[in-house]
Amino acid sequence: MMRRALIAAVLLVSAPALAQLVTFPGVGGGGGGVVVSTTGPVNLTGTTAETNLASLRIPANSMGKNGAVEIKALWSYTNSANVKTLQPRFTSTAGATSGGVLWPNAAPTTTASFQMLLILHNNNATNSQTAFANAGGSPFASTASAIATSSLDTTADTFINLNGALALSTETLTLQRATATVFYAP
Amino acid sequence: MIRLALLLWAALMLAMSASAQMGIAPPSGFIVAATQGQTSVTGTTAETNLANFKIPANTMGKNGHIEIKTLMSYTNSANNKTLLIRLSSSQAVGSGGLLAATTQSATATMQAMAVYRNNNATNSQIAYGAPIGQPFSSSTSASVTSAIDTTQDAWVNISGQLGLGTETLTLVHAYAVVFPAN
Repeated sequence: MMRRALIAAVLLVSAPALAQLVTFPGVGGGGGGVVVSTTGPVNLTGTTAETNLASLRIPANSMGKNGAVEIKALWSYTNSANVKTLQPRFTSTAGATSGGVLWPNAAPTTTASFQMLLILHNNNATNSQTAFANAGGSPFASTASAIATSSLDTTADTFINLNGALALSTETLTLQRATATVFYAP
Repeated sequence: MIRLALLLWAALMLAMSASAQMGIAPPSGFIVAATQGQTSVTGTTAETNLANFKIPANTMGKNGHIEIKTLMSYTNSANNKTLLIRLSSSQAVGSGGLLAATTQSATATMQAMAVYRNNNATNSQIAYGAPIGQPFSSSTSASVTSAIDTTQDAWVNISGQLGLGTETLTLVHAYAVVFPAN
């Protein structure tokens, strides 16, 4: 029993704490918007595995057929030549570290912070999405890439999973804050 | 007690340095208008209306603003594809209004953003003069202005124009959010 407790304690210490979330249903009143926000920074260090840092829940039916979700996130990290990967994933499960890639990852190296804006558009159906295929550092721009698509059912809960990965595990990647705002449109 | 509180408040207001006055949003919250399905222009080089968002009368207030975000795709070629957003007092106009635009070539998709701000009056607007593909940037262009009466219904008209009529420009999705402020 003591041994299991010790192992559990070690696991808890080595795993990054997930961001605490706060949700404000109905923010915006007339628009019926929903805001989900992390409530503090989350650090990733000690591993090179892709790790979920925050999972922003988009409540079932909050988008409508033509609504949009704007995700804004501020990251900081060790300023070095090693890649820090910032990978958003839009999935039907919280904390997913595979699948659901609508936006390409950002892979900063010799900088110290990154702010991203991602927009998820429902495409005239609750189970069809489009997105601009950009890592979020230049959300308003043009590209030769095609528009990204997915087909998740937003009449059920979906999740924007903000994940990180380090090329060098002794470095640190921090998700400082992240916010998702849902704009409902029928 | 009330008199003392009022006195302290007045003293605080007098002591504050002059800075931008803050508008307080009315309790109605924001309003969202969105396209329902994709629309395209092809077969013409004339400016062609793709979507219209009604901004209901009195929803902006004197200092509210409208954010319009668009996602579009188009033929990847050297020819120009232009997306035009016009804040107007009437629906589906292909000229005039407070214009925000972007012209693209040699790419395939684009996300853009325009912001129209009421300028401390319900009939005075101002917007960034740079192309809407770079809404957060610096520019040598002057800001653009208009005098549309937003105590009446106003319209955000989105249109497309092709340099070569056989190509295609598709408005995949667009939405406008009104953030009111008095």
